Amino acid sequence: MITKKIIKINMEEEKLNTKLNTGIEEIRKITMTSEERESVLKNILHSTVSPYAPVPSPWSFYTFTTLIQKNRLFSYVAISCLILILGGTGAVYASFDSLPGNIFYPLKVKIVEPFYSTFIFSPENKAKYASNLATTRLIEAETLADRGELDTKKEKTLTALLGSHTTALEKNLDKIHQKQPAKGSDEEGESEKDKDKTDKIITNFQSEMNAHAELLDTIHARGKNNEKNKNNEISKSARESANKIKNSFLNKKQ
Amino acid sequence: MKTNTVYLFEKIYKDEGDVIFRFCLVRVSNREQALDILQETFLRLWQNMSEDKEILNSRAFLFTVAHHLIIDWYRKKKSLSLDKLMNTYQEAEYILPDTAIENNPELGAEGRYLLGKLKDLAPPHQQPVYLRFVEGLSPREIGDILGITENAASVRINRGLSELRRKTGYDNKENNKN
Repeated sequence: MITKKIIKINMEEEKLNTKLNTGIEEIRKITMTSEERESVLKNILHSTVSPYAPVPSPWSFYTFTTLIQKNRLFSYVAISCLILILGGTGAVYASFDSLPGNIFYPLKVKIVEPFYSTFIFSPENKAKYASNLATTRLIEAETLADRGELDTKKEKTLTALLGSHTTALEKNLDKIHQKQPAKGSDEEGESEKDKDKTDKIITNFQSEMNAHAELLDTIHARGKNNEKNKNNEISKSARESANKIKNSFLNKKQ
Repeated sequence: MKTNTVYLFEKIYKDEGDVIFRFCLVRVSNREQALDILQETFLRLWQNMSEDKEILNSRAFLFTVAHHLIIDWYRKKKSLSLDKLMNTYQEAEYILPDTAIENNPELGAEGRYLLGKLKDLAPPHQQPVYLRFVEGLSPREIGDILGITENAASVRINRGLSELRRKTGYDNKENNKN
């Protein structure tokens, strides 16, 4: 009885599979006619360019993308350069507002600012730039002092930088002074203008240094209880720098 | 060298021409359109061979190109008569179209019936089932053509086959119950 049932099921299954296979076989019978086959083959073999295919550019040999595609080493170099440029630009941008203690601060004072100064050629502009940098250092000190983050280490860094900016300013002022012609010469009128400019730079520097030193003292007095604000070396150094420049200029005038 | 390329191309065309034509015809339901797509598909192969580009699996290459050309054709058709298509298709999947192929005189009753039921399958199952059982492609090849993994292709084939069996009434379990 059971054997009969199994045989019946197997027969049913076979019948069903046969139906499915017959269907598949019939679908497989769909083919091209021999004329269609010949015509398509002829069209393909006689065609020059597919209407869908992109037309290669005559300049493609020289393009950047083609160079990358053709040379793997070049692509690695290009990608490395791109990462370096993008990363470098980002780091430089981030360093603009950095303060002592920040990871980007050395980048700002050791690379960005000296690099920028290489594009300044006249001693007058160089002096102005050094004066601006000195002011920037004092503003940074004020910001840190206001936040209560100006410790001895940061103050030393800022004082050292302020000293180097003052030296640079002095050097450039010397250069301007050396350029000035002797009394009675034709260029004397022009040299008067230069003198005015130099005076202006020195006056500005002096006033900026004194004003910021005063401000630092005020912040210092306000945060007297704060241990970190205990040092006031930088305002002293600012005043000394201002006097140094003033005295050196007065000596040269005499 | 050139003669060898022509000979090789003609051999591939002879072996795969009808297969690709059938694949196109079943999907676009228009003989002229199917021939156009077939021609473009083989033209791409011919261009690649002429440029001495290496083609590891010409069959998979042809199916992939044809598959993409059919999708492009549907997109163009869709942009031309969007309203008409909105009524015809519920989903943006590229399902088997109209009944023209089922009325093909070359087809027998079983073939016509099976093709109609293939059309009724869920869109993700139609291509894998067709390619596996009608064209005899491996799950890996189907995965490559449809841009899915081999495992995903296997799953779709199995689910599609179960669905096809249910829809055709070729399901053993149901028949046995009856």
